[in-house]
This record gives sequence, C-alpha cells and structure tokens, in this order.
Amino acid sequence: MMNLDRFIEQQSRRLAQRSSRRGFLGSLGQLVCGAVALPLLPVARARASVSPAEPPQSTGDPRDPGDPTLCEYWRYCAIDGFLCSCCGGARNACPPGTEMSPLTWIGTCRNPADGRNYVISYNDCCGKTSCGRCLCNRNEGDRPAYRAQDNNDLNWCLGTESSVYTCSTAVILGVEE
Amino acid sequence: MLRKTGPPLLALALLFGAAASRAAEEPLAVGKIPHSLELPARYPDSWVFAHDFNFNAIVDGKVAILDVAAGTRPYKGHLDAGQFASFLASRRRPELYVTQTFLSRRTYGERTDVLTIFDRRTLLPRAEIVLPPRRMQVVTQRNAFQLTPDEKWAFVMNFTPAASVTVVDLKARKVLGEIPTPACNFVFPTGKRGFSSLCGDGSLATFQLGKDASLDALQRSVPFIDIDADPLYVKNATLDGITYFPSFRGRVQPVDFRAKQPRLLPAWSLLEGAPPAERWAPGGWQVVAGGAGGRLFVLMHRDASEGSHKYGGVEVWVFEAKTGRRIKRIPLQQWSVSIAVTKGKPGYLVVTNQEMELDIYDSASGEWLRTLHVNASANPMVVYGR
Repeated sequence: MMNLDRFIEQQSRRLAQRSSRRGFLGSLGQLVCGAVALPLLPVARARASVSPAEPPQSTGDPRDPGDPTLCEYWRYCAIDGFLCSCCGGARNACPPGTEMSPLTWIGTCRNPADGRNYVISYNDCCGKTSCGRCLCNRNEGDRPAYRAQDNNDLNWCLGTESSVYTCSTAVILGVEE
Repeated sequence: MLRKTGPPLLALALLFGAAASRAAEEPLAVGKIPHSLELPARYPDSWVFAHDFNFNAIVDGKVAILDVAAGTRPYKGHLDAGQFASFLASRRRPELYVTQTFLSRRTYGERTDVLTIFDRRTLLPRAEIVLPPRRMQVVTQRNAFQLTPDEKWAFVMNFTPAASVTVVDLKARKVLGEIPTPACNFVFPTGKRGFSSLCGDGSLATFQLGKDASLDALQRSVPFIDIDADPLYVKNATLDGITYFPSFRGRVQPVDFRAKQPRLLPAWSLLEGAPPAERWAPGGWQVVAGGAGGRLFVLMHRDASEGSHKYGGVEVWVFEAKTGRRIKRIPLQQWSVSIAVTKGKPGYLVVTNQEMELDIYDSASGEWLRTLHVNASANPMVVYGR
C-alpha cells in the first residue's frame, strides 16, 4: 500500500539535515546522473532513508541479488510502503508481533540474476503502528484501485486481526510462464 | 538614548514617556481560563482543508484548516481524521464529515468505523454514526466518500476486498443499507439518488436507489477504459456539472453524472501542441483540480514512462474544460505531488510540494505568493479548496 514517493525525498532531506550532508549529496548525485531521471528517483532515496552508517544487507543467495533494504532491490518493482527488511522483518517475513496479510496485490518483476520474470506478492504486515523506515514507492504495473489486485494505494491489511499497516514484504509466488 | 536633541525627537520622547508611565499604572488584564477560540460558521473562500494522511503514524491523521490568503496566522485549527480517513465539507449545513476507523486498543482490538459529524464553529464532534466495519482504507481518495446532491445521504465505499457501498441518512443520523458493488469501486453520485462505480473490466456500473435506499436499478456501461494501456485516474474535477477524469497518458474523459444514467462525452487530449518527444503526462496524487470560469488544472511531468503516474510534476497546465484548449502553463517553484484550487475568482492554486508544504499561487497569473507549513510530519495528499 501507500503511495507517493516524493514523501521519501522529504524524509531523505530531513535525515540529511540530521546526518551526513555529503552522503546525502552523493545519493542526489546518483539521482541526477540517471539517464532516465524519473524512474530512478525512488532508488536513490531509499538509501538515504536508512542511516548511512548501516552497512548494506544481502540476501546471502547470489540467485537473489541486491540489498533488500534498498528500494532498487529487484523484487520491489511495484511496492509501496515501508520495507519490512528495515523494520525488524525481512523481504519475505513480517517483523515480530505483526501479522502477514493473506490478501494482497501482485506485481511482476525481472530478476537480473537469471533474467526470469517472477510473480511477486506484496503482502502487508499488520498490527503495529507505521514502521516509518525505508519508505519505498515504485509503480511499475500499478493500476488504479478499481482494478484492486494491481493497486498499491489500498491498505491490504485485510483478513488480519488488525487493519493497522506496519510495513510491506515482497514474496515470490512463482515464475511467470 | 537620544543622540540628537530637537523638537520632533523631544516630542517623541515625551510621548513614549507618557506611554511608559500609563503602562506602569495599568497592568495587563487577567487572562480568562478556560478559553477556546471558535471559527465562523461560514469560512472565507480562501480557507482550505488540508488532509494530512500522516504516513509515519497512519492511525493519527488529521484535517488542517488554513487560510491560504493570510500572510500571518494562516493555521485556523484541525480535526482528527485517522486510519485512512475520508473527509467532506457540507455545502448546506455548518458541518464537516469524517469517515474513519478506530481500534479499541489503537493498533489492535475491536474495530469500529464511524462517520463523525464535526461542527464548523467549534470543530467538536457533534454526532457520530456507526458504520459497518469495512470502509475502504486507501491513501486519501475523495471518491471513497461522497454525498448525494441534496446532501441528505452519504455513500461510503467498503472494501474487504468484497466491494459494497454503505448508504447513510445524514439527517436521521443512521445507516439505511448496504449495496453490493461486485468488482467495482469508488462512488460518483449519479442523478438524485444513485451512484456509479468504476469496475475492474473498465466499465462503469450505475446503481439507482429507491427512497428506502434499496437497489432500484443497476446498469453497466460497455467497457470504455483500457486499464492496461491508459487507465483513467480515479481523481477528477467537476466543472459546470461535468466530471473530468485525466488518464495516465494524457487524455481527458468527461462524464456527465447529473442524470440517472451517466453520459460519456467525447474524450480530448491534454497534449495538443506538446512535443511528443518530451513525453508529457499527468503525474502525482491529486493530479487534477477545477477552478472558476470552467478552468481545469492538471499537474504534469515530462519524460513519462510506465510507473511514473504518481511521481508528481513540475508544471501545472490550465485548460478551458469545455473546449480542451490549453490556456496556460504554470511552472512550479519545485517538484510537487497534489493540486487544488480555492473558491473565488480567480481563486488560489494550492500545491502540495515535495517537502509536503503548500505553495500558494495566483491561479490566473501563476505567480507564486507564499508557502505554508502544515506541520512537521504532515502529508497533505489532498487539499479541499472548493
């Protein structure tokens, strides 16, 4: 769920004001140098939204490349919300004390390691207040909420004990045929 | 203190001296406790409602009331509107409406959905109507909650993900019923006592209700939206009775919802005369607004691509809605995500910028006038200006 990545920039700027100005400008540099500026914007922001002091994470599996605390991680191509990887959970697991929604929206993302398109389920984690870390909004394939299964603005904390949204995961459902 | 002496300065010194001695005689009046301010029952045209979604604590959103014309003391007060709330201001009664969700232990426990009726003067909740606990929770969308034209009823969108609409009698303060709207979402009041919803196959379903809010007639249009290639935003603006929906790629679909059956009018392009190589398109959250004189305002960005439809924009393009003729391009001070236009002529253009502050422009000249801060964590995703 969640939308509107511009907010991430606001958060980035606030963080930049509190932390390393140079680190922030470095991210901005990546952003400005991008060949296609717009789609890359959230990518640069995500790094700024976690502390620059935190070392990058890895999945530990070369077939699943990238850092799941960054918005640019391949599975997040249609995610919208706080990354559970930054919130005490993981790319495919909820933080302690929260419940994974059984209902969700679906995206299709290409894994750069094997070139396959995977069907990704963006299950929300529910039951504690908003995590507030690593907000990420990418909208490849996102469609308005009148086609609900392809929409990331809806609160998908449905069918859970609590409808309060905490963060979002990206679980592989299968390889697109 | 006086560097030079002379008649004018001497007079000034005497005056200050007199004021000082009077101040010494009369201390400041004792303050009144308790003391809360009130607002007028009718707000000036330059006041807006800024719906703060509050991403970082969604359970605790609010609607702030601001005077966008005021250089000083623009902030007038706020209402609580938490957990993906929806907001509406009555045009006929001094009332403000919020649909919202509470959990008995804030983040867990029993869920209660309510329609809260606030008094415009005191901003206090005056009444509450308990709703079926399944209202649609979505990032602020105006069409998740709407009123009939006579404001007797309210329509509340539900999503579980089964879709339905709760019908509320605002005068009797009670729920009248619930209409299933399978695979169709959002409410667009249609005729005197009905509503339409957009459906997952790209069609429009129209539900006409009887006086007891039971379903009288259901009609479906042929699919007219290609959701894969170029979907219509749910966001829209209504001018002179016609509702204008922009599409992701820059078309505008006008729909007339005034009769019992909605009427699709010929679509037109926002991009007439724009160089195709620049790939302009609407982008942001509330990407469209209507202003006085039938003007349609759309937030635009260049180099659009798949997935850029919510990224915001750097310009507002102004159109004559009836003809589709572009009147003006307003370059913005900074990258922005949502727009609104206030009442009045020409009205103020209110733009939620990337810092989540409100930039205020003259909607006719495009001149930037001032920037208003809502609060430290605000996300004013939608501003209600009209």
